[in-house]
Amino acid sequence: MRKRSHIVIGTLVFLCMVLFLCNIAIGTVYISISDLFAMLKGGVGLATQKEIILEIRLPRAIAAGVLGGGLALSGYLLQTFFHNPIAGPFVLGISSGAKLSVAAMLIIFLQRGLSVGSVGMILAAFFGAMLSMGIVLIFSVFVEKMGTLIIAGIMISYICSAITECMITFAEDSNIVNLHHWSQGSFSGTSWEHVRSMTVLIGVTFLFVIAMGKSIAAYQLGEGYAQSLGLSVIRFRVTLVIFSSLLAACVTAYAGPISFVGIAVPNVVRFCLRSEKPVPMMVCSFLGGAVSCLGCDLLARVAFAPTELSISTVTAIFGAPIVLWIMLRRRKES
Amino acid sequence: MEENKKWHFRTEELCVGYGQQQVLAQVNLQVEAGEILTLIGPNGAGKTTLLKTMIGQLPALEGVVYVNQRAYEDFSAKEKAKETAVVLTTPIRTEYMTVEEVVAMGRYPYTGRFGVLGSRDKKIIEEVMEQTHILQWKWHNYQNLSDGQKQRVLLARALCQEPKLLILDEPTSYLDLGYKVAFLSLLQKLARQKEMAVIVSMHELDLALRIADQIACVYQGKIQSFGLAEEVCEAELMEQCYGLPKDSYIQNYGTAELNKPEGEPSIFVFGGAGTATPFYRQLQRTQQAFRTGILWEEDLDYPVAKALAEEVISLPAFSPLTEEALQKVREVLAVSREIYCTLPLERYGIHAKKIGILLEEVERKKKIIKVYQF
Repeated sequence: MRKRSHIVIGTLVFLCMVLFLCNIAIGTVYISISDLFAMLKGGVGLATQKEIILEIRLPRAIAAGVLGGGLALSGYLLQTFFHNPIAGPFVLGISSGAKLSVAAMLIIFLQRGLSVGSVGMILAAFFGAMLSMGIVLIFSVFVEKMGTLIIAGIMISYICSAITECMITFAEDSNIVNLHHWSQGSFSGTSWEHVRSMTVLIGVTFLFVIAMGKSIAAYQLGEGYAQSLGLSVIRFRVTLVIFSSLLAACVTAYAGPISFVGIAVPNVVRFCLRSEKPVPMMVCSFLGGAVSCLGCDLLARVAFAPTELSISTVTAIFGAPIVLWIMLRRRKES
Repeated sequence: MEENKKWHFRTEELCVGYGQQQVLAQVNLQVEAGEILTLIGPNGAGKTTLLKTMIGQLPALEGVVYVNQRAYEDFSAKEKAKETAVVLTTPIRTEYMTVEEVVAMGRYPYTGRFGVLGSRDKKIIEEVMEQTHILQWKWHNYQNLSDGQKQRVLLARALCQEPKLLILDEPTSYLDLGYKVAFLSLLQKLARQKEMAVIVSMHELDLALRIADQIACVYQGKIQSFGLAEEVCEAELMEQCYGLPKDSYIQNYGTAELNKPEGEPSIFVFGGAGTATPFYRQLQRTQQAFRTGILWEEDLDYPVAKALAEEVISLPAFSPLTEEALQKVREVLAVSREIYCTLPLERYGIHAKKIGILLEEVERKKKIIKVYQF
């Protein structure tokens, strides 16, 4: 039992490191691993190479890892919240809600010539995420069936995306190119300042959520049992919603909406762990999210270089079959 | 109410329901430590609502619940969890949780911030699994167990909370008879051994009669009756409460026969000593109305006969066979087309001899079909 979780964590950490190095080394300019280490150690090497590494690839790789982890963790929390493995920030419309509100804010600010900092972006994203989550929750009061709820989420997501696209199309051209790219989901153009704030935010949230492990375990038994064990269910649910929205919002603010990582990763991880213990699940989901986003970002950059794919294109190719597999497994069991 | 008695659990003028809608009113129930109170009543009568209110998952509209002489609403969430444990009807939906993990969740109120199990916790988990006979499934996936096994795991989980009050909502509903009996026997043993007050709702009246130290019948917005099992489950109340036809409820066994065949009875059955019950049911299945006799009222056949026969010629328990009764049988036989006898007369005593004489008398005119079930 314990061994299995060690193996899974070990494998994920290893994959994470390998992919991280690959992300730094591989690209239109190839930099060998030995050069890379030499450069990181002593700082010898070509100035352009150094700049590519330090200013472009390194922050981007860190962002992919951290945001991917945050996304998968957000998915895990939502799946716990709804007692359903097909929940995730993207299908429930939370990512799109965040996208809409970030886009709206960016357009308004850019038109007036104001710049937007990390904090502003995250606040806007959080607002949008909570708004979508609120709508989904209101639906969940009236709709018992999870399938219907997911469809509601997807519809919310379409509406938000449509409004976002509208706004982008009719906004002033000059600043919008980036925005368009962002609204499709991408890790490109991540600055060190962004890396710093996202790492702090996601790191702190991660610690808080890990500390909730005991309560999550009780909640997994169902609300009735959780309450009888002394868990304040309402407070717990509110906390869960806030943390999962915060994570999804943070990811969306920096990288736009990324599909499927939130649903698929926790499920694959659960299958590998053969356990539902919250703490190992959360650690492995985080690592798994990091691995999948690093891998997918690498593919997005390299597959059709120099053209870059949007990250969701790649995550969908891998993620959608996994979601189908989850649904088939569930059908078989029930 | 006996005020001086130290009830472990007591409700006082409790009124339960959802928001504005009152489901039950004036609920006054008491349970002692080590005793089992069973709630019975038809579907939708409010048993679950009452249980939910008792454990504080639903606020009481009026009245007070006392646990251990203290108002339950004054307990902190943790105190409640250490005092009361539940087995609910909602299934636990997990994919990979092991039996041991499910049971260990019962230690939740006792573990620290991160839920790490101490040596005492582990000892209790082991002990409880031993007592509930689930130790052999320790590493099994909970989800792969049968309903009967799952229910025992849930009981173990509840016991891990070391409760003084255990509340179970229809714990036996989906179990087969073997598991039902085993589960209730276990519950009874543990209630006595651990001196727990147990409140359990059930649909199986037959089993309720066996396990309950006291029964409360929940019906039409109040507790219709509360007391000893035999007092509460009397035929009239049960028939009314479950909408059963008259005389169909068999009090001693807590069960009911199907509907009485309609029509003019043209069949007479000589029964007795429990020999006729299967034959009565056979007639019921083909919906043939019948009369039967001569039964003494303590006879095993009597309750079923009362439920299914158009007319039962009977005598008070332990009374001698009277000429009057024999005469009545003669009259009935005169209008019967078919006569059956399930009673192997040679096996019974003095009364049977008299009936034998009657049968010989009848046989000269009509054919008697002998149906021996044994």
